[in-house]
Amino acid sequence: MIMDKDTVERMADIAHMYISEEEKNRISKELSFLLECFDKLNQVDTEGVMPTIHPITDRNILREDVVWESLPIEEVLKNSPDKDNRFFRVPRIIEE
Amino acid sequence: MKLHELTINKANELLKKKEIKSEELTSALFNRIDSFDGKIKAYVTLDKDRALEAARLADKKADFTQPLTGIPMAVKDNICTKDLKTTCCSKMLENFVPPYDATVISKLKDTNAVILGKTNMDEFAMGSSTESSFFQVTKNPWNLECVPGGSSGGSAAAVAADESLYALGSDTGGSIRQPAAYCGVVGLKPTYGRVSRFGVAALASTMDAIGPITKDVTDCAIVLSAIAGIDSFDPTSSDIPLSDYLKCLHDELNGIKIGIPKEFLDNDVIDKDVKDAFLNAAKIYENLGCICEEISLANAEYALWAYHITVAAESSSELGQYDGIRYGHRATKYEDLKDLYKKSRGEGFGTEVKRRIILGTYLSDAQNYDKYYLKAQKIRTLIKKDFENAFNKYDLLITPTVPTTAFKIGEKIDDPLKMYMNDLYTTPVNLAGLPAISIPCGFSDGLPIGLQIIGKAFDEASILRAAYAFEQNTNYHEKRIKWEEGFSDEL
Amino acid sequence: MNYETIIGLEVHVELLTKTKIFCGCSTEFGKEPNSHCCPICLGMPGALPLMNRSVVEYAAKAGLALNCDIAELSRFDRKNYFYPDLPKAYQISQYYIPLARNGYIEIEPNGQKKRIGIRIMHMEEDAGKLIHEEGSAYSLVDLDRAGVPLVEIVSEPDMRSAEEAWLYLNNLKTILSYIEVSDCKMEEGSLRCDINISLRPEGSKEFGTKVEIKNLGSFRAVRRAIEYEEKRQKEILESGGSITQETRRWDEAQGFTTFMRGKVENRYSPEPNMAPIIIKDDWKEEIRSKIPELPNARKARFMQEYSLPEYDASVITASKILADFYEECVKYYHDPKVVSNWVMVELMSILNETGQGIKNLKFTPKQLSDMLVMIDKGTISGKIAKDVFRDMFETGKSPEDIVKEKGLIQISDEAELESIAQKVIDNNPKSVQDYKNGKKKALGFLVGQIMKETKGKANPQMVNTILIRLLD
Repeated sequence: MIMDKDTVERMADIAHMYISEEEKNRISKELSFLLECFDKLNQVDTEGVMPTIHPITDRNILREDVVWESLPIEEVLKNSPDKDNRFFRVPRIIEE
Repeated sequence: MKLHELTINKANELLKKKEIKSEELTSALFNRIDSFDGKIKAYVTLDKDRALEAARLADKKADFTQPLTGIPMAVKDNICTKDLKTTCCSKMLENFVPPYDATVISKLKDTNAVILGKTNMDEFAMGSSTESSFFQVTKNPWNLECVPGGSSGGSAAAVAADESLYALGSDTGGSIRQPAAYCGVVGLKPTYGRVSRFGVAALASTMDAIGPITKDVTDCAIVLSAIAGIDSFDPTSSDIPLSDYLKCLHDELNGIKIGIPKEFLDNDVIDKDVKDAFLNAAKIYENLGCICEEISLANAEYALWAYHITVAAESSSELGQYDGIRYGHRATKYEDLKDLYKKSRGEGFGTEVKRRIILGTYLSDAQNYDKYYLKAQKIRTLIKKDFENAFNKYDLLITPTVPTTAFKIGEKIDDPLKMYMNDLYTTPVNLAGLPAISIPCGFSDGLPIGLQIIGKAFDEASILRAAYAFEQNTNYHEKRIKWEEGFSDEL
Repeated sequence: MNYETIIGLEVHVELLTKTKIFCGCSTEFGKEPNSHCCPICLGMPGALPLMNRSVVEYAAKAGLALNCDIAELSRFDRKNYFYPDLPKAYQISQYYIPLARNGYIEIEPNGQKKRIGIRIMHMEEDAGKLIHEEGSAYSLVDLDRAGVPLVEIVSEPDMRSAEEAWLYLNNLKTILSYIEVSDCKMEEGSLRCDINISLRPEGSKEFGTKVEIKNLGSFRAVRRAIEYEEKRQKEILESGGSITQETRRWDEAQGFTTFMRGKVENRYSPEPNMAPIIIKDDWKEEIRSKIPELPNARKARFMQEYSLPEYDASVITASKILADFYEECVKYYHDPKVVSNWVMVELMSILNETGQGIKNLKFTPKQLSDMLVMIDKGTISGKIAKDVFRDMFETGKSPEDIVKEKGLIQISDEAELESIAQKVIDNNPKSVQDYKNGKKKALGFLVGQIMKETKGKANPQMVNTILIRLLD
C-alpha cells in the first residue's frame, strides 16, 4: 500500500494542518513503508474474533448530577491567545 | 553518601530521624541540577521557589510517616501541574499553564512531595528517544552521545543522573520501561486503570499508563502505593483494591512459575549482549527457586503493527483539541478560520506528530476503518488471549525490555523501522493493558540493559516481589556512572 | 405528474439536568459568557468525560415515552470535526450503538390515527455558542453551552405533509414536556429541528434524493420551509431537472431556502474513555415507573371519566400543568364540564392576554373550585364570578376574601328584590305594557334594569321569578 503525496496532503487538510513540501515527501515515504508493514496483519485469521476497543465493557460508571464550581473566568481565558472581554476570539466566521 | 544519591527510602529514614531536612535535600538536588543538567538536559522547566517552599513546609510539619513527604521529584511534561507550565515538549503548548493538577500530582501534593520541575520528552510522547522534543535533546547519563530512550527520556535521565530521587513518566508502548532500561533505572508501567490518567495529556486513551521511574524496586513500590487507586475523574480507573506493595517485596519467590516468550529471543533484532544478559537473568531466577520455561506468544509479532495502528488512530482524534483557540500556539497571521487552524497546527506540531496525525486520519477514514483499525483491535483480542493463556500456567513472564542498548543520538531517528523495533517487547503489554517493570540486568559497552517482568492484570505485587528478589541478588542497580570530564561530582 | 412528499425530522432536545453531560458545570441559562466552564468542557489536556447519571435516566425516560426499545448496552462515539464551538474537536455522541430505537409517535391528521416511526434516539453533547457581532472582524466563542446534554430523535421518513410534520413536532414536544425531561423551547434553542425532505412520483416505492434543511427557528418555520421546499423540488423535477443531495438553510425573513453546503462525510471513531451505558430491566422499569400518564392516554381518560368533549380533553391535556390543575379542581367540584369551561375560557384567555405561564398562577385549583361552589350556592352570580376570578388571578386572594372585601355577595333576599323589582316596574310603564302585549323581550330589559340597580349582585333566577309574578 502506497500513501502518495496527494493522500498525505488530503489527510493533512482533514486534520487542519499545513505541511511543508519536505514534510510531505518524507511522510509519504515513511507511511508507505509503514502501511506495508501493516499489511502483515492480513496474515492473521481474525474470523469471528471480537475487537477490543473499550477498556470497560461490563459496568456503568456514572456521576451524580450535582453542580460543581466552574473555573473563574480568568482561569478559563488565561491560556487563550486571543480573547475579548469574556470571550475567546477567532476571525469572523462567515455563517455556513 | 551524597544527598542527591539517596533513594526515597533512605532519604525518608534520614528525614524521620531528623538527620537531614527536606530543604537541605531539595537544595542539594537543585545544586546537582545546576551543575549537571546543562549537559544532560533532562529538565525543561524548574520550579525552584515553590519546591523550596514545599520542602520548608514539610520540614515545618515534620511528619514523615508518608514516605514521599519532603522528597524531591520530577514530573514528565505531559502531566498537568497547576500554575506550572506543561508543554508536552511541543511548540503547540510552549506557554500552556494548566489551571488544574493531574490526579497523580494532587495525590503527591497531598503527601507534601517536592516537585523540582518538569522533564523532557518526545513531543506529545510520540517517540522512543526524546529526540522529537521541541526544546532539546536529552543525553543518556551513561554515555552522552546516546539517547536516554523515550518518550519519558527526561524522567529516566534525571533519575539516573541523580538529578531527582524519582520521577513520573507515562507509558503507552514502552515509554517508561524503555528509557528506564536505557538509563539503568527502575521503571514500572502499572496495569491500565491502576493509576488515574486525569490531567495527563492523552496519546492513546486505551493504552496510556502513568508510573514511577526510581532508583530501586523499593522506591518503585513506595511511589506506586502513593499514586495508584480509583479516581472519580478517570472513568477507566479501577476499583480493584491495592496490595501492600512494600510488604509484598519480602514474600517468598520459591516455586514461582516464569514464562519466557520464545518469539522475543529467536529473532534478528536482539543484540547478543542483551540476549546473554537476559539468559543470565533467567538463570538467576532459576537459582532463586523459580521455574522458568519457554512459552509462545503466537501473535506477539503482530502486536507492534496493531499497536501503531491503534496509537495513530486514537492520537489523531486526541490531538484535535490543540487548535490555538482556547489555549496553545496560534499563528500570528491568518486569512480566515481554516487558515488559522492549518497554520496554528502546522507551526505548532513537529514533523513526527504530523506524521502520526496524518496516519491516524488515514486509518480512521471510513473506508480504511475495518481494514486497519478494526483488524488491529481484533488482533489485540488475540494478544490478550495469548497472555491470558500464558498466565493460566505462569505467574510472570520475563523478556528483555528492549532488544538493544541505547542508540546514538541521531542514529535511528531517520530509520523508522529500527525505531519501531525498539518497541517490540513493550507494546504487546500495552495492548493487553498488563503491568510490567523494567529493572537493570546487565551492561553492554557501559550501557545498561533492562529486564522486563510482565504480570497479570492488577498483580503489580508479584512483579515487584520478583524484581526486588532479583535486585537483592544482583548489584546492577548499584553501579554508578563514571562521569566524564567537565562534570563536577563534588558540590 | 403528482408527487408525494417524504419527510423525516431530526430533532435535538436539550435535557433539563442540573449539570452538563460530562462534567459538573451548571447548565443554567443566561449567565455571563464562559462562566460555566472547566478543564473537561474546555477540552484541556488530560480531561476525561464523566457521564451524568441523570442524562441516562432522562434520555431513557424519553425513549420509553416514545415507545422505543432501550438498548441494554449502548456506547458513545466521537464525531470528529473542527469548529471553534467544539473544544475537543470531536462531539461525543452515540453512533454505532444508540440508546434507543424503533419507537413511534401517534398523530391524527384529518382525524385518522397514524404512527410516525422513530428510528433512533441517542444522547450527545451540545456545542458552544458563536457570536458574530455586526460589523466586527471577529467571532466570539462562549462555551457555557458546550457539553449541555441533548437527545437527538431521528424519525423514519413517515411524514407526508407539512401538517403531519407539525403534528409530529407538537406531540413530541407535549410528550417530552409531560415527562419533564425538557422544556422544549424552540425560541431558546432547547428544541432544534432539521428537516429531511424528498419528493417521489405518486405510487413510486423508491425514495427520491433528499435535501436537508437547517436553521428552523419555530414550528411555523418548519411548516413554511416544508411547503416552500415541496414547491421548489416539484418545479425542478417538473422542468426535467434533478435534485442534488445537499444541506439548505431556511431564511425566515425572506421565506425561502438557500444552498448551505454539499454532502459531507462524517468522521466517527469510538470514544475509548467511557464505560458503556448498561440499562438492565430493573433500572428500565424503575425509569418507566416515573413516566406519568401521557397526553393521549390522559385525553382518552378525561373523555371517559369526566365526560368531556374531545375538543376540551385535547386542549386541557396539551399541557401537563394545565391538566394537573384541571384534575385538582375536579377533586373539589362536582361538575367536570363546568370546570372545563372555566379553564378553557376564562383561564386560557387571561393567560393569553397577560402572556403569563400557568406555572406561576397565584391562586390554587381549590380556590377556583371554591368559587364555583359559591356560584352554585347563589353567594355570587356567574357574572360577578368573572370579576372575582380576575381578582384571584391578579392578587391570589381567596374568592371568599374578595367577595367579602368588595361586598359582592349576591342579593337573594326575597323582600329586598321584590321592592327593587316593584320600583323598576313603576319607573318603566312602557316596557311593562310591551310585556303585557306579548313582547317577551321586554322582560329581559326589566331584568337588566334590576341588575343595573343592584350593580349586578341580584340573584338572576330570583329576579326572573319575582318579576314574572309581579307582572302577571
